[in-house]
Amino acid sequence: MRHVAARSINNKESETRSLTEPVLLILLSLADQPRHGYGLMKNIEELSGGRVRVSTGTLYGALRRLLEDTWIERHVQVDTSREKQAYRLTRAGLKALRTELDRMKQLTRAGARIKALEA
Amino acid sequence: MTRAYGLLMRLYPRTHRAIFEQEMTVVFEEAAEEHRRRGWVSFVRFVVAEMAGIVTGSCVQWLSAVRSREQPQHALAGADTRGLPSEIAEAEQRLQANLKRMEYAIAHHQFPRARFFSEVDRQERERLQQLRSKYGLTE
Repeated sequence: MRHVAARSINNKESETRSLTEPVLLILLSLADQPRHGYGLMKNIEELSGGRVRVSTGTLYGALRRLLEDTWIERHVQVDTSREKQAYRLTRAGLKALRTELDRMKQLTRAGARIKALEA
Repeated sequence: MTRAYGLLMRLYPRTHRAIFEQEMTVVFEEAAEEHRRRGWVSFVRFVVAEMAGIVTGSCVQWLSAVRSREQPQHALAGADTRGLPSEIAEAEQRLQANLKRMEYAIAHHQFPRARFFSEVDRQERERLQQLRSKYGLTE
């Protein structure tokens, strides 16, 4: 799964592009605490108010890209088996998440200044 | 249902399966159980979404593999695995293929990718060791 609109192998460049919604939700979910796959699926549904439901195919495609970019890493939990691998956000992932949230805040502020958008 | 899921998983490139197949199957089983409890409509929706997700996801993984020169068949060429049980031969070929990807990533200064392939290498070696024990091979 591509997690940026026009993703590049270069990490610095990918940090400046917007993230897809499932990826943003994965990062948000992991910002809170390490989670394993099923925990992530449930939390993503909860965070999006039931609007976004990711399949295992989508989830693990995104997790793979995030692992490759070292935005997340595997988290070893003593009480879990290998099949229930947990993931956690890295510093680079946290930075990317902050950048994306700042970008969204900026867009929201810009939108608020446009009178035609007022209800 | 898990059997059908397992069959569809074969659409993925081997590297992806080697890393995530077990995990994905466990997550699928857990999610399927919950949707079954919610009712048959929810369960059918879930199954359709999962199947579509696997087909789409596998296409994306293959495209990604081709783009980053991760074509397993291509990288398998040259490994001498004659006379070994097919499971071990395949595991050794995956290991070799992954090593090539890791070397490529290092040579092109793609260090996050290299670290990822290093993790894959660790897992593949672990799996190979288990297979060797299964067949009673010491080396």
